[in-house]
Amino acid sequence: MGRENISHSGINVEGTILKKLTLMRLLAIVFTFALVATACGSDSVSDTVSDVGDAAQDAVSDDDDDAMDDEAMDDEAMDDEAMDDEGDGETAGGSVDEDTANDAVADAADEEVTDGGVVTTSIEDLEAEWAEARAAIVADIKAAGYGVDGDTLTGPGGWSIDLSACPSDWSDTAGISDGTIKIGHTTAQSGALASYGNIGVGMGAYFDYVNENGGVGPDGLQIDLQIKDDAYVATQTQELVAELLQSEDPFYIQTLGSPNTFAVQGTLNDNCVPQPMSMTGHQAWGDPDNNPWTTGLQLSYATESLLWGSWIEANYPDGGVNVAALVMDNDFGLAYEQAFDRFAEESDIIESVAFVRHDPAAATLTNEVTTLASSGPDVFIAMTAGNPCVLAIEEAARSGITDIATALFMPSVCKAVSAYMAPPGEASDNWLIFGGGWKDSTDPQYADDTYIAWMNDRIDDAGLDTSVSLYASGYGQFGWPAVQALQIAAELDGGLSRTNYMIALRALRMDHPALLEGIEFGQDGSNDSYLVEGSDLSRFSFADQSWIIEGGVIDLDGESPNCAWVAGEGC
Amino acid sequence: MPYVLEQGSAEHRTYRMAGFGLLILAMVLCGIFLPEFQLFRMNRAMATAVAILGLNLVVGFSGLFALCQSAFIALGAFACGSLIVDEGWDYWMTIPAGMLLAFLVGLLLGIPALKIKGLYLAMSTVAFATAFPSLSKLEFFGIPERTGGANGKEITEKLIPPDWMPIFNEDAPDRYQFLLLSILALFAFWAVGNLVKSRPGRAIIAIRDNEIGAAVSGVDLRRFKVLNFGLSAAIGGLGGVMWAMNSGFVAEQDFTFVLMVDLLVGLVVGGVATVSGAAIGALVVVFGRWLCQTYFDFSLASMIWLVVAVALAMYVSRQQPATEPLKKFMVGAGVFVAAAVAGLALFAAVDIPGLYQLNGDGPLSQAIFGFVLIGFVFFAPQGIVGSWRKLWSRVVQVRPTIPDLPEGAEVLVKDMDALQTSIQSTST
Amino acid sequence: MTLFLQRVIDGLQNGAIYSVVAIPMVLIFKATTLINFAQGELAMLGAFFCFVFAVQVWSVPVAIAAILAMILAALLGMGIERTMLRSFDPTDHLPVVLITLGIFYIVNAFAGDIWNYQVQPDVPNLFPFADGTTVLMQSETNRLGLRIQHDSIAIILSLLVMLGVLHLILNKTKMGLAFRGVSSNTESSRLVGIRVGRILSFGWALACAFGALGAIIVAPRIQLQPNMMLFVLVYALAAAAFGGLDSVGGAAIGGFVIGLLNSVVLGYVADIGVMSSLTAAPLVMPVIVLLVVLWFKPSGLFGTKTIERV
Repeated sequence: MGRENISHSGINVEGTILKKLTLMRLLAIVFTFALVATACGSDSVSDTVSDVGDAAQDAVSDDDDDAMDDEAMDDEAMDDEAMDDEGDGETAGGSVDEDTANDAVADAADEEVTDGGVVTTSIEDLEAEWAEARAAIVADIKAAGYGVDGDTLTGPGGWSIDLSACPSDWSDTAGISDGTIKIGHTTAQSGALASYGNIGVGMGAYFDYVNENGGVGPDGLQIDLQIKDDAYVATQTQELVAELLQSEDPFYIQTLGSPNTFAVQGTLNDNCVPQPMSMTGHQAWGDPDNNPWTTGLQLSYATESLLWGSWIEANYPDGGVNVAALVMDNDFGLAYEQAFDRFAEESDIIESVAFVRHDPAAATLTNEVTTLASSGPDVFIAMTAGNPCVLAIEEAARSGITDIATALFMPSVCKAVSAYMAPPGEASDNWLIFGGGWKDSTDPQYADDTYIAWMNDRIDDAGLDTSVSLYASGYGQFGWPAVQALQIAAELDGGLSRTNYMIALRALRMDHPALLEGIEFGQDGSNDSYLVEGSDLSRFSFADQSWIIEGGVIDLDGESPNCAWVAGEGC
Repeated sequence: MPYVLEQGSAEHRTYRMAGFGLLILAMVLCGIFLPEFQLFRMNRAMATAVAILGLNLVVGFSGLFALCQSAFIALGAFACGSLIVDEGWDYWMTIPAGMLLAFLVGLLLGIPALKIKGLYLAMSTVAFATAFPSLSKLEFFGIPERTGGANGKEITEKLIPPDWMPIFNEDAPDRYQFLLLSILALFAFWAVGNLVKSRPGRAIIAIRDNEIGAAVSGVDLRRFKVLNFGLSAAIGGLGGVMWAMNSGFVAEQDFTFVLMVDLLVGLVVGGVATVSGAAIGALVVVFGRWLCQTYFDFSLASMIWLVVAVALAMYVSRQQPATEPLKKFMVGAGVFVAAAVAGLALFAAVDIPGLYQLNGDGPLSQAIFGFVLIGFVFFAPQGIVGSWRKLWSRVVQVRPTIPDLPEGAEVLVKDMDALQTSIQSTST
Repeated sequence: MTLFLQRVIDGLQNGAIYSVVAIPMVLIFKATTLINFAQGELAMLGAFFCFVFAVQVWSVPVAIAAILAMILAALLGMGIERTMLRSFDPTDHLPVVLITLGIFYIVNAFAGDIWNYQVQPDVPNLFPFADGTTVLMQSETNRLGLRIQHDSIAIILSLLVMLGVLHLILNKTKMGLAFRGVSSNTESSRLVGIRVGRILSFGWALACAFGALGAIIVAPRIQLQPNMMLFVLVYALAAAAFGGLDSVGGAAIGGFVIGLLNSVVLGYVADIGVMSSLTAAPLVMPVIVLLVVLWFKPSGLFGTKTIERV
């Protein structure tokens, strides 16, 4: 190969170089322009969260003082010391404080739940009860005069939104047209967490049922649920939400997954679009002052951690307890870890906690559990979700933890019998759970429970497999309150609108049929921004394939202060 | 009858300017007429395109099977996020910083790539790319605070248009970001395009085609391989910074092996070893998923039918003589369309209960994506760009001029035209 | 000491799982010099076939269901090879990688759609009798002792049996001889009269059948769900690369080495405070080791070195 062939391709070299230089100059100019533009252009659009966070902290402490006075309380242990702690900002929002949790657990131990919480009222009577409850809420809202006054939306518990910050093309009745109401839902339908997509399917089935039976509100609006797959990737959620907002403009958008909800929380709140009942138990959704359009639904992970801690303190009065916790290394598991770690540090009874984090994509948990077993734990807690719950139960048995530990805890998200407790077989016997108060649809003890039986029949009618408990989660846990809130909002002055919907959501207080009796399902504006703050304590019986409730229900309604979440620091 | 252009002639230059002008026009039209949310997606497509460009440098032009580009995107994005939020830098400064960080890591990874070859390199880099997201959650050196750990990190400073650009709306910055990211992307593409035509670029291509021959010809293998790795990583880092600029939120679960597969798919679908292929591939990957999700809404039974239709089409098309690829394609496509139409008619007529798929579009669009992938490999193996060039070469052909012969050389070729034809049939 | 031994056993247990998925991958490589990214998903499908036969639809005895599943998986593998892969030049890796990735997506989506991404409670178990734990070295100070699961022993023994059977097939049968011929020099084999196409199909059939068997064996351990092989795939790739892509024994050893490294090294690293979060990134170890091993032996520990003649 001669040198000639490498260097050129036989063209007019000088002319080309000249042309190239001109082009280069042009591009250089354009590029510099771009850099300058970027440099000048990038300003902080929204105040940084920390600035707002400080203001909110003060507001939170004030609210707490009010809340403590206002709430009718069963136990008097809410003493001044605890209140001062919250004033320091040390005790986190998003969960109750240790003393309240301790007392609630101790109290519940003396009580009992009759018939395991099975309710046998007929479905017609239940529906009448719900209608009555809805009417009562409507009446309360109208009497209190909540609503839009000029540019301010006022709601219960001192909660309000300044609507002047909403975009100019914002519509209060967006998504409602031609007798249908459009609702958006982003979830994981593919990828490693694809099973969570089933919740949306169940919810859609319930909405279909509602549509066939009169729709929502006096005009019989038909619900059009649009489910989008984000594969649990936060950037995808952003894209899908942007698309939904700009092309479909749904009435509200419901998101699944903590990072996904975080990723779009700002956008949705800035655009005054409701983000209700987010399908994640993270405590950050109880922030009615900074993110008024966002709510959660289920028991917050932080509160659950405290319940674990309280139970340990109540049941091991002699102290010296070693706890071993298997933590899933993602937003979900780390929320548990943080809260439990904080509790354990203050506790005299818990001597040591061994946290071992596992890769969410791990195929086996053998190594992690062996490490935990070697610490000789008295209590083992699985802070994980999905398939790893099953693996945790099996590995705990294999490694001998089941033999040496006296208490083993499952997280509330792994309560489903058919999905998580049945596969490990006998190893699942005697596991404990703070189950968030939900009646699992695959738990045979609720076969006679009116609502559960009715729901399973409807799920079956819809052509879905009733052994997949996530369908029931969508149908009952999330679907039912969504429709109740819509129905309430439709009866308010002005009809169904986003503002009325948010009022209804913030004032919602009903007896959720899939929740054990005694656990309140409700919020109160800025005073109480968590729908579920109670739980059952149950023990799994392998023989019965069922969660047997121990003691009474633990109700911490209204005890969780709001949470102004700051990334890296907490509430 | 193809219209022939002499390479380097005035006509050729006009032709190229026209092409470039069309591209700019298309981008301007996109910028003006596409709705905001599509521009958001377009911006991600551009970040992806730049990343695929980097991947192409290593896999396409250099023939090294390095499948860890998603890790470099992550590095760039994390660098951008952390520098802005934790150190208070400006966006434009994070571009060189992110690229530098990725470049250094790429150099580091280039060293094992010197000895590890072929599929072994592929597998080790795949393992690295899969492990990378979990690395960003490790609790040393304050890493999780910088990368956002498991919850992700919001970049509180957003890229918004400055006041002296009134045509852009402050509340909807996607259009402005489109402008900036387009310029960055164009710059990257221009730079890489130039690199490929330059001496170092030819050295890289030589390494791919014949490593030993290249070494014998004086190419310093070690230096080029490692630098190539580093450069491709740097471009991936640029893609990552662009990603962060667009989305304003970095989370480790965005940069998993799935992203790596998307990049690889984009690479092959666009056209391996073509510079413009990266852009086309990125568009396919980003918008293809969205199209599948939005517009495909049919049942499991139809999926099965689709498989059968595709298999049938492939089988029939393979029966055709291999020397007529166009006929193969047309026959295959024809069979597929016929089968698909028959299937649609069948399903419209017969309603089989229980087969209706209720699990949402997620798995469905994933399967369709898989089919599209396989379809591409079969019917357009050189990627879209490669196939397009083949088709287009029947319309307009650029003929490279024969290099000037050295003085005193004798022309022994009887038929200059035949020589010219043979030269252009072997040019890329 | 007991803890160390326990970790060794854990490592062998996990390693067996990785090996079981790596071996079919290596088989396909030997036959066709292709990497099949869809190997895990095809194996998962095989396990689900067994599930359908034994539990979901019919109640066939597990052993027979397993054989049926293996046959089905083999047919599927052969079908894929014939229709999609035959026409490609095996030295050009990219198109084939893409096709196997496409198959990966499709099979995963199919299975997820049909079985709802759920973990199945009734997993067909080939070794229901291996259901206990042997506890050794128990003492007052160490109540846990050294625990050896019987089903893990079953998995490891099955792996060894599989290796033995494969060795027999590859080295003692005519088919195996033809297979080895094709994998070392395709052109010469063709000249000698070996029907290369048949051998390629045979290779895929064998790999898919053993893949399905492997998935059936490990399903009770890692749970039967459509995403079960997603997480094991990377470990299997690492194991195969580690041991040498064309060495079946190497893949087995690679799997065990990776399993041991993870359990022993990560186990002790967890005790060093600042490094404890490394347990959440267990892939880091195999990646580092892989890079180091491949640096010194670029064709894996037991792979055949390719010598390029200039």
